[in-house]
Amino acid sequence: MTKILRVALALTVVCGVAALALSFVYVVTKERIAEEAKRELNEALAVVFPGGENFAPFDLASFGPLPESKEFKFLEAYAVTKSGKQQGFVFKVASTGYGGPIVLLVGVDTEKGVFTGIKVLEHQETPGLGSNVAGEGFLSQFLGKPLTDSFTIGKDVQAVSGATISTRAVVRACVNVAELLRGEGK
Amino acid sequence: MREFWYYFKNGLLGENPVLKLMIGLCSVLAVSVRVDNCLGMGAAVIFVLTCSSLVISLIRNFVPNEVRIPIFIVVISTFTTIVDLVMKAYLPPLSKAMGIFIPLIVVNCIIMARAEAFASRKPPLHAVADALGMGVGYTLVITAIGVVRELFGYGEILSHPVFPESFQGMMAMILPPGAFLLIGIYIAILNWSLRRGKR
Amino acid sequence: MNGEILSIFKIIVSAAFVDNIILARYIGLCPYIGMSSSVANSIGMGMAVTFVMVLASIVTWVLWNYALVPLGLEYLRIMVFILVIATLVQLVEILLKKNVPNLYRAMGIYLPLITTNCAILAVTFLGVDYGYTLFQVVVYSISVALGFTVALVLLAGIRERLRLAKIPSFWQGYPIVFIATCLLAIAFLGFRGLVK
Repeated sequence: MTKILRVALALTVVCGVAALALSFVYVVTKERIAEEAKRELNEALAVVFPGGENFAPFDLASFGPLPESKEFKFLEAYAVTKSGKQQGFVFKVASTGYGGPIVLLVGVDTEKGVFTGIKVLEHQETPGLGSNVAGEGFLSQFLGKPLTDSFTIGKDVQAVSGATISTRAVVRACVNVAELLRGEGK
Repeated sequence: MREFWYYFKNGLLGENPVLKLMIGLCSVLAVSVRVDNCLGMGAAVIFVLTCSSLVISLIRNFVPNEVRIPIFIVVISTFTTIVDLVMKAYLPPLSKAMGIFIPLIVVNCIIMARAEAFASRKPPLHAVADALGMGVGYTLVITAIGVVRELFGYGEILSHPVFPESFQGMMAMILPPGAFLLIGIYIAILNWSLRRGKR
Repeated sequence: MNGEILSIFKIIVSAAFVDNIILARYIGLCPYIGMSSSVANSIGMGMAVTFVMVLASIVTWVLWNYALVPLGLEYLRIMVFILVIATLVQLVEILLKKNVPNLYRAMGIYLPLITTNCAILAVTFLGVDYGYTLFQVVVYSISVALGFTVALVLLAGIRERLRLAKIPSFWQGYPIVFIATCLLAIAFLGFRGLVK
């Protein structure tokens, strides 16, 4: 009997101390983690929409019915304002590439009708090939492109060599965003 | 103090956890794509390994034999969770890059194996020496692999380009086959040099 | 309905082959290297892993969705999951010892090592991370275990042949095993892009 008590005591003490230590660390780091996530989002938003001052979450449903397929999905939207004036939108979208969904932020200046920036948040493309779509070199060509662009790969958009499918995924995201804002999305 | 060094050195080469004992391989191969990931992973493993070894050694006389494994697991997973939370809070990019391999430290065989084979039988000072040796040995191997993979895979070291612009990264080095190939070569080199040393 | 079958099929192919847990994700390497010296042992190990993996992912899925998330205790995930797995492994060990002593002897020290088999813990994490339903989690864990077993048996087959081959002395043992693994991983790269 004393044996069982000893075992139970040892387990209880160790688990109790562990639980205490963990909840302490959790409380200390919780706010910091939430803050980090928020800061990261704001930084990413500022990158895809340089000069934007205020990014407010925006209800996607107010765009009406959204296009949604196996390859593409709108996830979130942010309305960008500068000194109280509506400037444009940033969309978070998922577009399927070679290794799985590529999650992108796409910034659009609705005043001028141009793309302001694209940033890849998550992807599982092949390192060294498809992963290059996340690089500056590829994404910078979308800067300042008008919404009315035809986005023909090879003509308007320089594809990443060896990664046609990943390139297509990024282009698909732009086309869908452009169509939505031109009011042609179905 | 001499004993401290003895146990510490043991983990570095003679009983290097990765190359000799063949444990803790998963994270070595998975995160060694870039050197900064390797250093982060090494630091995380050293922390968890040293803290758990110290605690396990301190409570070794208090823990009944029947439940020692569950208790080791509780101790190790506590420290792993702490590392996970702290990394998320203070080093978010690094934590993102290593993803699931931070929580997987808990099942890193090195830690469990050292807890079972060493820390639960030796006084705290020796346990810490052994843990530090093993941890540093692990970090050395993972960094050695990371340097080669980042250099040839991306042409960079710690994200600083070292090759001229025209360098095309070797994809194989970033992908799984390169990792397997490298670790095979490393073990062969270690075998060869150990054998030559004996002669 | 059709879409559902398709999505299940997708989970199976991607978990077993495209994202093969050993050859593409580098998880579960210790038993992969340790238990692959003969085909018979590797099949036994594969079965043990399959059994524990499926059980563990069901139990952890239920705990995660009905206990940890509602209580806001997500940060205890690592500890809870690893303890569930440790308990299950103990159970499998007792059952094997009693009913299949041969297999038990063959696995020796590796059965307790299933506890520290990253593959099982990783599958339970990924199962909840991907937001699968219970049914999908079961399919997913079976497929991952299948991929694990396939990789293990393939390597065991190669190692049985390697025993007859002439290899430079310092390449014998683990180094040549990793070179073989490297070639296997290259072969499995061919599955990439199969599932969209």
